[in-house]
Amino acid sequence: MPGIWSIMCSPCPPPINSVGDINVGSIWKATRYAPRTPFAPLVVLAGFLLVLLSGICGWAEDGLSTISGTVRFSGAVPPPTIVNVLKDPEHCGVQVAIQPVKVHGPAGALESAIVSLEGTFPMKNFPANSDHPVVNAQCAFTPRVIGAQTGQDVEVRNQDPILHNTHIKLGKRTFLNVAQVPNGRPIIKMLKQPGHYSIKCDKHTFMEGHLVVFNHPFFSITDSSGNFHLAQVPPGTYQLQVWHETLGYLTQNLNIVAQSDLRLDLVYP
Amino acid sequence: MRVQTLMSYWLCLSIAGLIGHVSSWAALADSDIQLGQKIYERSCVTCHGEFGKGDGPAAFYNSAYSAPRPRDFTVGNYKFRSTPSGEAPTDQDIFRVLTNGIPGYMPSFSGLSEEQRWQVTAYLKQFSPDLFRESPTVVDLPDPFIPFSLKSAQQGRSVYLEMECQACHGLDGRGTGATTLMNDLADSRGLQISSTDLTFPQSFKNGGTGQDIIRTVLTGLDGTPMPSYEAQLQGRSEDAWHLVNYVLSLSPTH
Ligand code: HEC
Ligand code: HEC
Repeated sequence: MPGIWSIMCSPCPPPINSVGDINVGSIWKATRYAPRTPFAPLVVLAGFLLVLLSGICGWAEDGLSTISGTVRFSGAVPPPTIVNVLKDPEHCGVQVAIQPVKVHGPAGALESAIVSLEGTFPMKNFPANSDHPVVNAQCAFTPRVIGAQTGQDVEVRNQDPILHNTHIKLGKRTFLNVAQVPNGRPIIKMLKQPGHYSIKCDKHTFMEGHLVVFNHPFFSITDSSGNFHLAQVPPGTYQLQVWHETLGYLTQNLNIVAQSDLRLDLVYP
Repeated sequence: MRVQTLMSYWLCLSIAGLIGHVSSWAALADSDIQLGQKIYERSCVTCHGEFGKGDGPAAFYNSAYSAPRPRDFTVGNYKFRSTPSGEAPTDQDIFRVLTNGIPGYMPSFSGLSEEQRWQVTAYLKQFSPDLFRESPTVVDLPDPFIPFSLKSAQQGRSVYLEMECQACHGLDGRGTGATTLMNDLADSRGLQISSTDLTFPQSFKNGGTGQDIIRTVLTGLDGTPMPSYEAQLQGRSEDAWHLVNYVLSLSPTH
């Protein structure tokens, strides 16, 4: 299936590039390797097939679908956790109130939930280059919840005038444990393994953050209106997962047909 | 016709040769691991457990709930590395730990021949194959080296304070920083851990020479709160050695 996909799309790269670079990897493979083939007849045949398939190409490029919508929370919002600060209270404050359930507006829009697709995707090489800042600010991680893709970087920074010790783990395993002195250098590291990373400060144990890493681009983190948006989803059957750090998972099975535009309203609990 | 027959003989022979060659490599690597396993079962199982999970029968001799427990090799946290935070150790790192032992926690295995230590190293890596898939790069030590002097140590004190080592190790280096005294430092198993008393380098697990200490400070000890200072000391090689010399000066023998 991945092979067929790349052949179908190789004659029409511009639109695909313009809508988010989903298939750049496979285009490169197709064009780079074809001329090296020693079997001339095969090349001719492949060319013929390409011409034939380019007719269907229109289908391939806008066969991709969109899934968007909102995540909401209904019911009484749990009260924040109050923590007495014992270290650096002069900077962090003597007490901090931690509220991971951020609900806005009368409709109950839920911020910082991660919506993603689980399943197998017909293509493999998703380009990914961007930085995800993990900023130590006012003795909290900003942002507190991050969705990222393998191949992207995290950049750990400190804006506080005190030492922080940012310790990111995948399960029990240390991914990065770095000292962050005041005005210190940022630390950049590439994410190679998908999974659920915890972000902690060994010095200020009340500081907490989450980094969820996917090996595909089909995830979205809800904004303050609870909105999410998944673009360029290839047709197929998937499980849609919504994850929130304290509310847990919501799941729903989806069958995405070509060129659809699905809107969902997902409500916790 | 004849040429073709010759060619096919040649082809057969070379393929056979190639297979022989490759399989002899494989055999060598294989037997290394197998021999390593024998050594492991004799010398390490009592603490590290049959499956490397740090749960051997002797692992409970002090307490199941006090740190450090024998390493669980399946997790892939290695404290004593020459590589950046979160990366695999080099084979040399593991070899060094086996040779020196871990003062207070693990005997030195210098009684094993060098070859046997390499073999058991090869076997250990089998417990976390994902971790060792990529060969790690080693952190550069600051250059040029500045040997110990009281003057350098004095300069190092301000680096120690700037890096806020005292938060955990205390102003006097005795491991009595505010963070440590609040008893909420924990290792990767969630067991309470204290910050090393820096006045006693003979007991440093990762070694007590200047070279050892700079390695500890730059790479951090994965699976513990001791963080990597690689980025903070980058481009400040003099300060890095001053810091080390300050730590050395805390010990009464200096
Ligand atoms: C007496 C119990 C004991 C025996 C026997 C023992 N170990 Fe250990 N080992 C430990 C403890 C405890 C630790 C953890 C020390 C710490 O975390 O500070 C450890 C840690 C290690 C580490 C981790 C180094 C790192 O960078 O984190 C390695 C590697 C290791 N042992 C290898 C071995 C091998 C190989 C053998 C057998 C040849 C062996 N050990 C035998 C108790 C033991
Ligand atoms: C967030 C707390 C923390 C900070 C900050 C910190 N350390 Fe540590 N350090 C520790 C802990 C905890 C250990 C013990 C790890 C263990 O026993 O496995 C340790 C261990 C050490 C060791 C001994 C390792 C060994 O071989 O046994 C040295 C040396 C050391 N630290 C130096 C420093 C220096 C120098 C600084 C400042 C540049 C510093 N530390 C900052 C927590 C910290």
